[in-house]
Amino acid sequence: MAVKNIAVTDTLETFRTTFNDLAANDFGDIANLSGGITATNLVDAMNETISIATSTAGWTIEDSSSTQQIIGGGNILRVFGTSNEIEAVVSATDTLTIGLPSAVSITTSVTAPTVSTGNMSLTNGSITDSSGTISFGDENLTSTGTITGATITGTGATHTLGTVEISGNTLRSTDSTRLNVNDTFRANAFDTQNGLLTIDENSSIPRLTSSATGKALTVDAVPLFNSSIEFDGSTAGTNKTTVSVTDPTANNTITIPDETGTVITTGSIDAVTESMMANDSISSVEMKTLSTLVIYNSSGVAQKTIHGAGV
Amino acid sequence: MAVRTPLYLNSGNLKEMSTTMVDNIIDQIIYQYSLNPSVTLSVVSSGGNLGTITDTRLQAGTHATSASSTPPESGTGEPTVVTVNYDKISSSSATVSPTSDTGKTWPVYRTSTNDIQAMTLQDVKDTFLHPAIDLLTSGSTGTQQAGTYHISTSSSVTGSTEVSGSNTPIFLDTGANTSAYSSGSIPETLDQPQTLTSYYLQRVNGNDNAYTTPMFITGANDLQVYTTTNFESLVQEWIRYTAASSTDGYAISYNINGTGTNRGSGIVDQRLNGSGNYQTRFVNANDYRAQEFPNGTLTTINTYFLKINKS
Repeated sequence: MAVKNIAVTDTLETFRTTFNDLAANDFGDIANLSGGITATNLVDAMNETISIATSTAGWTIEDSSSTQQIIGGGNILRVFGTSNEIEAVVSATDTLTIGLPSAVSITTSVTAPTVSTGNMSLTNGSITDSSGTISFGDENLTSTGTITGATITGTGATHTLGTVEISGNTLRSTDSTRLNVNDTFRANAFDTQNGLLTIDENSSIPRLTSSATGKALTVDAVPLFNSSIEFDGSTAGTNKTTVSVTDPTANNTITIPDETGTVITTGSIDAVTESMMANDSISSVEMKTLSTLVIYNSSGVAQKTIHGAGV
Repeated sequence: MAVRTPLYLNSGNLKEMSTTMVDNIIDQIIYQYSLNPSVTLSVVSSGGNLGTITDTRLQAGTHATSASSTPPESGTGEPTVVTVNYDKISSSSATVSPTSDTGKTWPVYRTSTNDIQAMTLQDVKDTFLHPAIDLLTSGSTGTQQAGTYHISTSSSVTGSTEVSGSNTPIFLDTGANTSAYSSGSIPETLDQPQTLTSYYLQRVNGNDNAYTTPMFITGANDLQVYTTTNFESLVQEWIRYTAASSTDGYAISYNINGTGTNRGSGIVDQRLNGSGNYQTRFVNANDYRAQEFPNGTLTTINTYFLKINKS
């Protein structure tokens, strides 16, 4: 049944058929009206009907929005719950029990609930509050699962994650003397226990700084460098001395001897002293403009050949 | 013959010796010879093996006597010649076993290829020993003849040492002392000689001259400057050996009036050349005497030379 409407421009035929349909199907055949109704028009019949229903065994039901429904005598009031939200149980002799199912599904919110017994579980895994803050009071939160949060802030003095304890600004392992970081570990600076060694960045350059006496730094390891080591010297940021290696094609070993001295380079001038030469270490081929002096015995047999460098 | 130019250490460098330096070494070799000559002459009382030198003089003839008148000259004996033989010089040669050449015994020199070679013994002979013998056997009697001998008419000669040590002449040239004869003493002693000249055997003293020590090849075939002790000992052995035992014409020997170079003063035998100085004596009427005394002018009968020879 729908609203029937006759437009101005409709034809008379349209008006006729619409009217007929309205009368036959929407209003119905008056002849078919119950014989208990005496009214001869539809409105009167209706009013008469209501009067009859409420004046006998019927009653009216109204919800929170003031919507009313007449329950006439002999009529059945059917009460249904909503799955996972509320359930209605009819029991003898005249009891209707409205309750919540064991599993309640609340679509929007529960206001100020108090769960006094049992465990509370969340199917979708979300507890939110419109203030943006959820307080658990002074309760201890225990989870065998994973606690995830965009921001987790602890206000206590000591916090323990597994065997990792955070106490103030001290991080330690509770079951070991070592903390493992399985990813890149980045900090503004790294200090050793007494702050004698600092690892930081200076002018966009990583820096190791020793504050021990004499700036001593022990490297009890075999460091592997790329191709160069640079020395900034006591005047930082000016000139540098770079020690570079030619790309090795084999495992080479250059041994620094157990002695005090100055490294000699191809740029050294008048630097190699006699004491630096090992005995029997220079052959004649190393000499410039080789000059040879042979010492013969009186028989003319060479006893010694002396090689000297020319100019 | 190979005369070499030895090398010496000149402010840490090797340098060839100058001719003067080589001559200085030769002079030092002569000095070393003078310290212990291997061919020596000595003054003996008699029986010297260098030969006999004869001194002759006149003595008075036998006198004549008569009881009645003075004996005529024909009755007196003619002056006769008294002969005295001197064989007071004896020569001896030492047996010397010098150090053998090991091939590195002798000084080094620069070869034509600018190498260094030890001198051979022949080089040493040609450079040092034979020139030294040449000087030793020359007619001079200076320090370059040290250790050799000469004859002088004085027991004391500057630069020489009288060999006997007691101013014992090796020859006396005597003549009749005509003033010793007197007619009043007829019969006069027949032989009344006087010494005209005494001759002494002198040995030339050495002079320890300064020289530059050459260099030799050590056992380790290095070059080293001789110690003066070692060098002087070495050359002394070899100059002594050469003088005493040279088989190549440089052995020193002495003789009287034989082959060689005169050494020192000639030994002159002088004698009066008169036929007799007839003198008479009247002792008493029964004793008349006459005798011929030596007279005349001193005339050289013979001249002997001490000769030094190399052979």
